[in-house]
Order: sequence, then structure tokens, then C-alpha cells
Amino acid sequence: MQYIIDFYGYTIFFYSMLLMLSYVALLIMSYLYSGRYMKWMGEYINDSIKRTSNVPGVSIVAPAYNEEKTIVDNVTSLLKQDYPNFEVVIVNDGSKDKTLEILIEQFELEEVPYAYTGRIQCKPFKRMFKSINPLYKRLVVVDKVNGGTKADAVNAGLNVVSNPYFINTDVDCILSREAITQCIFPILQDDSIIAVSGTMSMSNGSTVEDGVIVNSRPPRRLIPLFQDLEYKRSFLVGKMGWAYINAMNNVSGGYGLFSTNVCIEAGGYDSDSFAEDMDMIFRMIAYCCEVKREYRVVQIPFTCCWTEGPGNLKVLNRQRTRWGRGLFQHVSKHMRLLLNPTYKMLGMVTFPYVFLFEFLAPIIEGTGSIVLLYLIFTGGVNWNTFWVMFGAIYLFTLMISSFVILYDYLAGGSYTKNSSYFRLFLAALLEPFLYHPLIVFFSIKGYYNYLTGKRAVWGEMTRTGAQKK
Amino acid sequence: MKTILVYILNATPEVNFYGWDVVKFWCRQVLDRFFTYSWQVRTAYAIVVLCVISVLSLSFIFSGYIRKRRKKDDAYKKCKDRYIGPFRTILKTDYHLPTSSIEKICDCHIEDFAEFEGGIYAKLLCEIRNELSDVISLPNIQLLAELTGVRSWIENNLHKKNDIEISLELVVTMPIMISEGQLANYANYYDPLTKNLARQALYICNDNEPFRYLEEDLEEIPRQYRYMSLHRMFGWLYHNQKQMPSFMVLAEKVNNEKSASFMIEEIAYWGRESEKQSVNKFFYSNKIACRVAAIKVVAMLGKTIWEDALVESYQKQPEEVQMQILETITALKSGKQAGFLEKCYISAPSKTLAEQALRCLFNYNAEGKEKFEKLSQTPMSERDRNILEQIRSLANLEEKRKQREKELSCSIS
Repeated sequence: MQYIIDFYGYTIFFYSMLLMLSYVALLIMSYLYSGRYMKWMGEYINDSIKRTSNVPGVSIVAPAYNEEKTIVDNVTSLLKQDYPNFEVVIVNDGSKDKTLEILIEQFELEEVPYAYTGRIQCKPFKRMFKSINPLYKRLVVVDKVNGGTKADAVNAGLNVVSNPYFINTDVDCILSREAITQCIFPILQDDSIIAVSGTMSMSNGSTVEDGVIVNSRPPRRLIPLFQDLEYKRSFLVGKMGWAYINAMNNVSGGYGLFSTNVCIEAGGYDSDSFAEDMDMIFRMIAYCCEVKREYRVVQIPFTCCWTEGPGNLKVLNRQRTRWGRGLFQHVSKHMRLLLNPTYKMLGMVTFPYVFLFEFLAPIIEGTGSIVLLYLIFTGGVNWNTFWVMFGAIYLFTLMISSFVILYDYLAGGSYTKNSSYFRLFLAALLEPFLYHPLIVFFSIKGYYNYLTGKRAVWGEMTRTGAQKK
Repeated sequence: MKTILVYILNATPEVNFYGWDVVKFWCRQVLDRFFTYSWQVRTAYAIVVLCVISVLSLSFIFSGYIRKRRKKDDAYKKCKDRYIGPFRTILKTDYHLPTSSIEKICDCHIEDFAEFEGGIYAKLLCEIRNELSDVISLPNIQLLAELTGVRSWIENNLHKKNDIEISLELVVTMPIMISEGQLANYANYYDPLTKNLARQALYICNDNEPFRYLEEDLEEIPRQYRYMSLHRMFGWLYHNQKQMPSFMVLAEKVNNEKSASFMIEEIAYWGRESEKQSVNKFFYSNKIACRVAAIKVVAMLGKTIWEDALVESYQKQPEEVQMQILETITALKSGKQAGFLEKCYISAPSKTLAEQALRCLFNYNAEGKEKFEKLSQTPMSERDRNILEQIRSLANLEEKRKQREKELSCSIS
């Protein structure tokens, strides 16, 4: 028994060291990469893009299902972009409430005949609406039969978009006015870019005026506050670092800009997937590798999108269990890519990392906790050693969070007030004790649900909305 | 080290330390805390120590940044409150102002400008520049940049390699004329964005041989952003009666297809009359993109004299060019080509081309619309009928939007 425990101890130790090393590497790479954007996204570039008419067109695709309470504000917010060439495609995914009626009335929509071509599979298209009011000429509303998933609705949107790039977002997300301008800049620099990920923040606690965030503050409640910190860490260190070596593992389903053609050629979103965003980017990269097309997936350090995070444990449980299930499904579906040199960085770096440090992490942490409990009860814990090991992991997490807070401030800052960062730092002190164990538990629950084939429930996100001025 | 350690381990409360020994003692106490433990514990402890140092340093750096930014913001606010009005007046004045007038408008002496550093004024000038768009006075901005120290701030930055990007951006955006020597260092810089911006600044600041790097620029891997910034710069040169490049010569000389077609399109905006007259020579260019660009230029210039040549060349062109010919014919609206457009629809080999021809026919003129309606009576596939309906309804929608716009403007007035 002792041998097993010793072996396990060593495994955990080396695993943790390797994880820490990878974080240090990501930290350095993200610093090098974000520096480029921080230097360049000045007035001149923004101004050049805004004044030019021949920039590539971008379609914002946002599915809506039973959103009658917020749909008008949300669509108004999406139409506020300062980019010269864009359209907003709202996909009404068979809403049972008055979402479509409200849209028709508020935005003066009229049904227009459309020669629909099903380039990618989705539930049947019913009709298309456009506005007779010139103020809303950029708005397109697609009505379709409910497909039950966001992926199906986005696919319907993709079948009608007329632009070379599209943004996949949620209808309740609040985009910054420069969201498209900031994301299109890397593409204007490099044609081979197939997807751009923008940084996301929590809108809980911020103030919205006329569809735009005017006073950005960290969430007041603990769960969204922790999630805000988690998002920042993931975007500003994880994804920025991976983007430096062109090994991005995901472009969030909440906000991401994609090449329409590559997405369609790769087969569009998978309606059966519970991690459809990660699945899509994997398939897009795999497609590019298979047809030997040059590709790059990049991350930008600026906050482009605010989304409302789960406000209570129940919703967090549902969200994270679904993500856990999605990750398991994703890993098992794409096993053929693992260590396969055909898929370049995806097969040799990204996927092994996802497998080792994202998929296995909750399992290792979960079993670690059980072993620790066993050792405590059997008196097998050397407490001095325990506290040093625990301190190393805790302080390392705190250090990474501190770096993230500094990065965010240097990239222009997600928050209006400097004191907000202090709040975020306090969250970083508490997060490993209060939030992280829950995430591990929910992920394991997601794995269990996937293995036992328990029916997945998307559930409804209880929204309180950002404060209005 | 061992001696110190033994000394520390054997230390008793009676031993007194002084000066650096106290520091050394505590350092050792911390560093050698787990000296006797296994290497795994020592590694973990090293991580603890490093992380504590990092978190403390980061907090220190962060508070430093906050203080610095706050100081800058306060200075900028003060500067803006005081000078935004006078500077706006100076930059809007369309004749050359003498220094005394600038002093009078700003209600201060030249020496008073030293209150704020050049970077603060640069930010303010940039803000006014963006607000006033392209109508600012070129000689007055040069004088203002000189008096406020913006010019020397930029030159100093370029010399010391500080804030290179922001400085070059300012030179190009305002634009502020600086010495060519400072720019030449960056014309072959390793970072492509910096290099391109420096070259652009050279095109603006150099009066003798401004386009020395343009051909090389155009031969590089095409980047959309590069074309956008070049287009903007040509516009600035054109409006300020500066020397322009020979678009036609470069379009012929450059091997890069995308760049060549870009230069052809630029003829429509800023080309000489002689260049505009000879765009038709690209109708049968070896580069397809150049053919498309030349035909697009015909539409932009409204040159109906080449309409027949385009119609004649239609069948000899690939689909990409045919699509552009249809668009150009529709844009020219000479009223003679409705029959041609109808024929194009009937003989179109692909669905995309047929759709384009149908759309052009509908938008051409009354005769086109009539032919379109006649075509809609003929038997056709479900998809073609849908396309027909789509074209018709989009046109109706446009009409309704125009009507709504009128109503809106009436209600506002």
C-alpha cells in the first residue's frame, strides 16, 4: 500500500511541476504576444479601419430562444458596432414566446423571400426578415424550426451570412463598440488567420447605457467574481500564450470571429456536441492541416464582450457539469488527433496539453483529495511537508492571478476604477479555497454523466441583466 | 555557506548580530528553513519563496503603473481644459498663422508651453485631428508641433528607440514633418508594421525621392491593412498637392497580382488624366485580378466609351471578370445594354453568374425591369424563381427604406 501511495505522490508531484512549468511558459509567451497588440492598437489603426469602406464584411450571428424580455435591448446593443461593414443575423430558434413578434414590431421587419441553400445541416429554415427602417438596415432575422442546441441555430445563421467572416456570440452578450474593429485588425495583417478570439468579461455588476457598457465593475457576488478572474486567466495567459505558438485550443462560443468559408468547409457546428466551440476550432484546424492550407488562430488582449455569469451555485453546477461532459465527449471524439504529426501543433502540442492538463486534471485532483483524506485518517501526513506543498501551489496560483490583473490593466483595463483590481486580487486570495474545489467536483460530475449516458439538460440561465443607467 | 549555517543552527539567544549580519541571519533563516528535507520539499519551498517575491514585486509594479497613469491623466486633463479650444481654432484656420497669433489665440507666451511634456500635447493634437477629420491646416500643425515640443518629442523617441510605434503613428496621422534621418533608420526595421509605417512617414516627409521603397512595398506579401493605409496616404498626398506615384507604371511593373490590381484601382481615385485614359489596356492583362480592377475603374470613372469594348470582351473572359463586367455595365447605365444583360442571363453557364445577370437586369433601367418581369413568366426551377423573388423584394425593400428615411427626416425637421 505504501508503495502505491509513494508512487502516486511522485506522480502528483511531477504532474504539478509540469503544470507549473507550462504556466510559466504561457506567461512568458503571452507577455511577448500581448505586447504586440498593446503597442499597435492605437488611434491611427482604429481610425483607418473606421474610415475605410473596403474592409472585409463581418456578420454577427446570434441565436435567440425565448428571449422576449431582453431581445430589443440585446439587438440594439449588437447594432452599435463602429465597424463600417457588418450585418447582424439573429436566428430565432423556434422561440415559444413572443421573441419574433417583438422583433418584427420593434425593428419594423418585413418578410423577404430568400433563396436558401443549406450549405451546412440544420433544422429547416422557415423565413427571413429585414427591416424597412434604414436605421436597422444591417439587421437580418432568420426564423427556423427549433434545433435544441446553439450549434444548430448558428449553422442556420451561417447558411444565410453574406460576409467572409462571422462572429459567433450569444444574443445576451454586450459587445464593446470596437469589438469587430479590434478583431479584424489581425486579419487585415495576415490573410491566413481563420479565427480570432476576443477577451470576455462578466457583465454582472457593470452599468449599461444604450446597449453599451459605460461603467465596468467587477461582479459583486462571489461566483461571477471568481469566474471573471478565471476568464481573465484563461484569455490573457492561456490563450494569449498559445496564440504565440499558433496552438490555440479554443475560441469561446461567447465571442469569436471566424472565417465563414473555412467553418463551412469544415462542416459547421456539431449539434450533438456539448463543447461545440472547442469542437469547431479543432475541426477547422484539422481541416486546414488535411488540405494543407496555412492557418493561424489568434487571441487579442482587449475585452470585446461582456457576458452574464452564473449568479448562484445551481446555475454554476449546470454550466460546469455540461462543460465537463462536453470535454469528455470532445476528447473521446478527437482521439485520432492525439500525437498525430499531420495535425501539426494541434496534434503534437494542443491536444496532448488539453488531454493531460485539462481533461485529466479534475480526475487527478479528485483522487488526490481522497488520498489526502485517507492519509489524514491513518495519520500518514507529514504536516510540514503538506503545508510547503500546499503553499507552493496556492502561491503559484496567486502569482499567476496577479500577473493577469497587471496584464489586464496594461491592456487598457476592463474596469473603470482602479480599486476594482483590488477586489479582483481579493478574489484571487479566496478562489483556491471557495471556487476551485467546486469546479473540480462539477467537472467530475460531468464526466460521470457522460459515462453513464445521463440525459443532458441545457437548462435556462437565470439572468438578472447588467444594471441600466 | 556551511560555516554560516552551522553558526545559525547553533545560534543561541545570547548571540548578538549587528548591521548586515542581521539581514544575512534572517535571509538564511528563510532560505534554509527546509534545508534538511527531501529535494521535493525543497523545490516546493523554493517555489513558495519565488512566488512571494513575485507577488510583492508585482504589487509594487502595479501601484507604480497606477500612479504613473493617474499623473499622466491629470496632466492631460489640465492641458486639454486649457488648450483644446485654442488649438482647434489654430488647426481650423486655413492660412499660415505667425507665432504671435498663436500666442494671442492661446493667451500665453511660447515659454508657457513647456508646462506639459510633448507627449501630452501629441495626444491632444491627435484627438483634435480625429475630431476635425481631414480639414486641418498643414502649416499651422507644423508650427504648433514645433512650439509645443511635439516634434522634438517624436524625434527624441525615434532617436532613443522609445515609443517608436506611437511616434511613427503620429507622424503619419497628423502628419508632422520630421527629419528624414530619423525615419531612415526604421525604413528597413525587422518588425513589418514599424517598417511600413516608417516608409509611409518617409513618403510624406521626403520631397525629393519619396517613393523609393514603394515598389518593394508592393512586392511584399499582400496585406489588406497595408493597402488601406497606402490608400489613405495617397489621398492625403493628393489633397495636399504633393508628389504622387506613377500608378500605371507601377501596376505594370509589379509582379504581385494583388498589389498591381490595387494600383489600378487607385487610378480611379488619384490617377492622372493620362492614366485614366489608358486603363483599358488592362482588359486583357495576364493577371485576372488586374482585369477585374481595370473594369471596376471604368465603372468608378463612368467611362461609357469603353462599354462596347467590355460587351465585346465578355465571352472571352473568365467568370470572375464576367461578373465584374455585368456590374460595370449596370453602373454605367447607358440604357443600351438591357438586351445584353438578358442574353447573359440566358446563356450563363453557372448559377452564380445567372443570379448576378438577373440582379443587374432588374437594377439596370425600366427596359431591364420589363425584361426581368417577362423572364419571370417563363417556366423555371424553384430556386431560380426564389432568386427572382428575392431580387424583386430587396428592391422593394430599398424603396420602402428610402420612403421611411424621408418620413424620418421630415419628422425631425
